[in-house]
Amino acid sequence: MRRVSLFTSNFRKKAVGRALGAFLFLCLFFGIEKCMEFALINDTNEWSRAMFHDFYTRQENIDLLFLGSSHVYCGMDPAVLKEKTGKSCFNMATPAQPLNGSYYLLKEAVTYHDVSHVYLELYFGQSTGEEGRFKEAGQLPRNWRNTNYMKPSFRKLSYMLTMSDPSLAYMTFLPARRYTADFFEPEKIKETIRQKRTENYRNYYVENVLNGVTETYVKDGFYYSGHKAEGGVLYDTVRPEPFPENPMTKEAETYLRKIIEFCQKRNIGLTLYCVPVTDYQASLYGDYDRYVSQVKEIAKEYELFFYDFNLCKEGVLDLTDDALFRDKGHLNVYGAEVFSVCFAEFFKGLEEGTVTYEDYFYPSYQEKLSHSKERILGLLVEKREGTKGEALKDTGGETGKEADREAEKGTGGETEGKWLDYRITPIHNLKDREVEYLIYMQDEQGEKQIFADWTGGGRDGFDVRIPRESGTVFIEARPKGETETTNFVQIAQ
Amino acid sequence: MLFNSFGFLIFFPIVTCVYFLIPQKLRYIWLLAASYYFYMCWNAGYALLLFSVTAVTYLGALAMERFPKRKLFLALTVCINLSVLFAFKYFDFALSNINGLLARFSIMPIEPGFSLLLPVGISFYIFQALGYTVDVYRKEIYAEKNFLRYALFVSFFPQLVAGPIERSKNLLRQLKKEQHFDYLRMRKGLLIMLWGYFLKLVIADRAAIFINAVYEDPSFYGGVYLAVATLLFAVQIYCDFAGYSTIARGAALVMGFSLTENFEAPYFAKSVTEFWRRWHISLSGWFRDYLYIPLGGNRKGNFIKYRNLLLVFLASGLWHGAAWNYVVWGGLNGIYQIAEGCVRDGMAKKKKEEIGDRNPDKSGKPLKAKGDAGTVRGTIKGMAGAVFTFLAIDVSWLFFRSDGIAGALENLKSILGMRNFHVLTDGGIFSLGLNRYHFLFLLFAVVLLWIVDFIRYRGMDIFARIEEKKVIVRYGIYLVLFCLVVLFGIYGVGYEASQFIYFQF
Repeated sequence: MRRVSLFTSNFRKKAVGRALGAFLFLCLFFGIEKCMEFALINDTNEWSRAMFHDFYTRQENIDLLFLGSSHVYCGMDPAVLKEKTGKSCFNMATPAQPLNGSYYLLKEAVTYHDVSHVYLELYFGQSTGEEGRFKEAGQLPRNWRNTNYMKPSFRKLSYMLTMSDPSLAYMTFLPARRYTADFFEPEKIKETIRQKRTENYRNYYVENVLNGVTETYVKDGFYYSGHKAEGGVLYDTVRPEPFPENPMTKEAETYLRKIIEFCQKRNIGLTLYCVPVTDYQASLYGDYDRYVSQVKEIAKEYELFFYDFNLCKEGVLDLTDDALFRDKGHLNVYGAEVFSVCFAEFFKGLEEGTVTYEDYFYPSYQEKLSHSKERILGLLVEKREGTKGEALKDTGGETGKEADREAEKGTGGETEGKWLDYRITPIHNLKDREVEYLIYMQDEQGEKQIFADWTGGGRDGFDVRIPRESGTVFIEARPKGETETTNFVQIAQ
Repeated sequence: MLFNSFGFLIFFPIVTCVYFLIPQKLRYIWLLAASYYFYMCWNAGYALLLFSVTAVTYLGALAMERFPKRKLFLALTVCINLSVLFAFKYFDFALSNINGLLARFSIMPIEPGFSLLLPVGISFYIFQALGYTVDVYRKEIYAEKNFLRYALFVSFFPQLVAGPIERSKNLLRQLKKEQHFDYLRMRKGLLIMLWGYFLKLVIADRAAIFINAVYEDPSFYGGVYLAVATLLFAVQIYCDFAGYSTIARGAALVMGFSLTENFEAPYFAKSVTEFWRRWHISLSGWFRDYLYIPLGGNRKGNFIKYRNLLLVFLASGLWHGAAWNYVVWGGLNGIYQIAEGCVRDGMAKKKKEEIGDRNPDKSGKPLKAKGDAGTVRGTIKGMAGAVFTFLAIDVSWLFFRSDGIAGALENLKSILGMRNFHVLTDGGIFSLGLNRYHFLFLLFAVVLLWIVDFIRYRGMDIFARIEEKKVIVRYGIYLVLFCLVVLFGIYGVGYEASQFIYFQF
């Protein structure tokens, strides 16, 4: 047998030729993939695209870097912060940014800028429950929002290789694969290409219209939203899993530690904090303090502190007015201004020694609620399934009695039949007072059917049976004794 | 471990690289370890069964060579192996039939008190091991003395779970030879693998989206839906099974082994008899050599020939699955061939009478067809034969895919009723997972398959021809196939990595 030597020139020539061939093959393949990406991925309103463009084209150094989720880009106004601190600020925040994303974006930021301080936002939604397990298939889009727009580098490669189970890596490396079903939708492709050829797209202009209010990417990673969370948006129809003990997931904790260690190794200042959400959202998961104490414990290990602005005293930051929020979780431009001022002043005061933690924060969230003014924070409206033949509580009025009679007979009261059963749970911080409801359905002609006329009572929940007809159900709630509606929900059946 | 799983994408290159890097004398041991690991990925316990089958056939073959009572050892080995197959594959089926009978006489059913999982690929490796045993018995080969090498022959991972069912004369011989890395052979092997992935991921699994939706509730869809799904099933099962065999062949070739070609453009066959010479060739060959011929083959007159044919196909049906619909499927294919044989014999007799004295050949040899080939008439006849064969085979697939015999008959009735033609025009047909353009894409892929198969039907080794082409053409073909598989294959999130249909056998 003829032995092949690696050192014969003929073999080397062939090997180089084949390696070049393989390289060219891969280039062509990825070229085709890129073309498909262009046709299939509609990112004309992708926030991250605008933010990364701003980041990479930025001339000014970033002194203060803000990492985190949408709560950061909606709630931290870099212009206000700059004015207050005199330092250049940038929100490197992306929608639902998981902590591994924050870690790699931090690395990206310090490569391009001389960052002196990092503010890492730790919104519980990104690091607990299902969303905290960010390596699972369903959570990957949160990281793709970053990798899609990061410049090629070994950092990016490392991010892509570690963001999921290896069996899912094909979707990370071949973005077009995520949308191959759309390849068979020519109209969609045409529309995507059309939108991508507009001036707005070329200029990285991002715009979103929410209930007639336009929201846009402004500058330095700030999202300008003038939308106000009024008109019955503080409600949910699915009850979330309550916080367990130590709700932060292992993955999230690992990356939190990595971020802390990275900053400490590089002598970059680090502050862990949380942008406030509505009290309704913070209370919805049960004992919010479980999350706060876990983060505080981790921070303590590194001689850090966790500043959760959900625990802020009303005297220094009053966010009880829903009009300061865009929705239940995000501040709007008005809220952002209020919060950014408070944020900057607190840290300035802390640095100067003129304020203490206790001046601004309650020791626990429970304590904050007990000191805050009594109110219904929001409503949980759950459709109850599988209630066949189950008699409901007396809902008052003829309709309720009729429903009960039918339920007893087992003829039409089942969920699959003529009626839909709802359970309404008020999320509140009322001390003794009960909650009362006005519930009615309005059809297209404006006809009203009333199911509860400021009745109900109780503090924990209220059952109501509503006919399975098309129309809109209106639920108004108020603490007993009030004369005006404090909470309002509107659900299309 | 599925060929279309992420694990295999890691496993195969590692096994191949290590295989070529370690010394020759260790290579078969490495392949054996890799093969057992491959099998144990499904269930580690299965390896014990694979080992038992290997040990029994190995010792049986040695005993046949060493001791005079060859027949006894053959019978013993065959019985043990068939008992294992029966216990794991047919016990439940037999019991349910017995219980059905008992129920007719109002007798309490028998409760076995245990349940056995059907090990993946059991029918394949037991048949392969039995083939070896019979070959040794017939003194066609010597018994393999090296247990590990023999164990590798039974468990060689590319073909372990869904064939081709290799003969000892082919594979065992190759396992003894020294293998060296060959770039061109590797390239051809990879191309063959790519084609196999195209068949499985682009065609079979795509067609499965529609077929599964219809067959999930055939009584609801019925008519045209069922007809289209059944036509597509013929394509799906071919691409699924041929896909596996092709990937296996390519993977083996990369490592230097040549496996049996299991499919040769079967849907271009002009008769069912020809179809079975082109479909699952390794199984048909096995049944021919180890069952049909020992039963007397076609040497003892037409009646015995047809009886043997029917028996072989009933056995083949049962081999495919422990259910009556598989038996009917096998029987139907046997009956087709008997009918074809009768017609062929009748026509030959008639022709013989017609040409009578003018025929110089009186030796009784079959008469040659009289010059239809190459003419328009011949072409039309050939095409009609191919279409007719395809339809006949597709009817038999209906029994293969349906839920029981009653279900199959109900489905057949529904197809013949053709009650909902409008779904072809109002777009209803495109509402079951494959929209209009998706269907067109599938059609394009099937046309591509048909073209390749037609070339192969004409006797050309298309993969060898591609390898001879200029670098630009060659790489162009690689690129198109690679893009089709990687970008348009059905895999990953949203689709379960679907098992190959033949794994269950």
